[in-house]
Amino acid sequence: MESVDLSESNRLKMLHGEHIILRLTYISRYNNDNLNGEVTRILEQAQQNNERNGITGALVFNHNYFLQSIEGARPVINGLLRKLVQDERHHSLQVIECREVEQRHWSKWSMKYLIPSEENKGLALKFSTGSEFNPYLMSTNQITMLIDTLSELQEQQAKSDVQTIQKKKPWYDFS
Amino acid sequence: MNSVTTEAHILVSMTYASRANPNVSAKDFNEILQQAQINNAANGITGMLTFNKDYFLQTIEGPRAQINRLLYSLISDERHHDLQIIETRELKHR
Repeated sequence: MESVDLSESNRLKMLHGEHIILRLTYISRYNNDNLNGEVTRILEQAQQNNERNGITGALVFNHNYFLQSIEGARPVINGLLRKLVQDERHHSLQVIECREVEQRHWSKWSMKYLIPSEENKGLALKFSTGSEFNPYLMSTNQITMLIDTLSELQEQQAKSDVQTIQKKKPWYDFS
Repeated sequence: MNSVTTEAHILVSMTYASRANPNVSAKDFNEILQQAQINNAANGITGMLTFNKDYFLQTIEGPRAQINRLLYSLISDERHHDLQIIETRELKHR
């Protein structure tokens, strides 16, 4: 009676809300005593765990803050949140928004990394009252718009990089 | 820098569900309610709490920083487990 067992296990999962896609956005302050090498290690590990747990998302970070949007099954996202709250590599975590969604926004990435650059420095000003970037002073809409805008800029940059490479290729190059 | 006053302009509502630990008694429930009333009034938090012997379901609303501080203590509260945020959103008013 394989099929009965299967539906029973699905029913139990439904009881825990595993059929619901939840998107959670949070901000936190980065512990400055972390070495750069450790950040790379954290990110690599997060990427692996997320892939295994069906979590997708985007992460913005600079030397002071993390802004992250994660999406996945409700109990999985909440399990991750409980771990994040206890993670000593950052502090003052604040949940900005958490809601049920019909579809994933970041489905292409187990984690999309967005690093603000010199060129898009002005974005901080676009979504803030002050010139200094501080997500703790930003509203929900400002934070989600900043993440989306950074993501779009990165896509455009990637596209134009490809075009530049293609343009640079001399006409006689058949490789 | 006074982070409380600078962040106090953003009002959020947070709804969560959790499972009561089996050893929680009726006396504990009363304590939870009374403690919540006192703490929340002091922190500008309003909301509602409903529960039976198995589950808690609570909505809290207040300044974003305070709501998140409360979330921290809720997560580590040993009278319940498996806390799951159902929704968090910014409010125009309570």
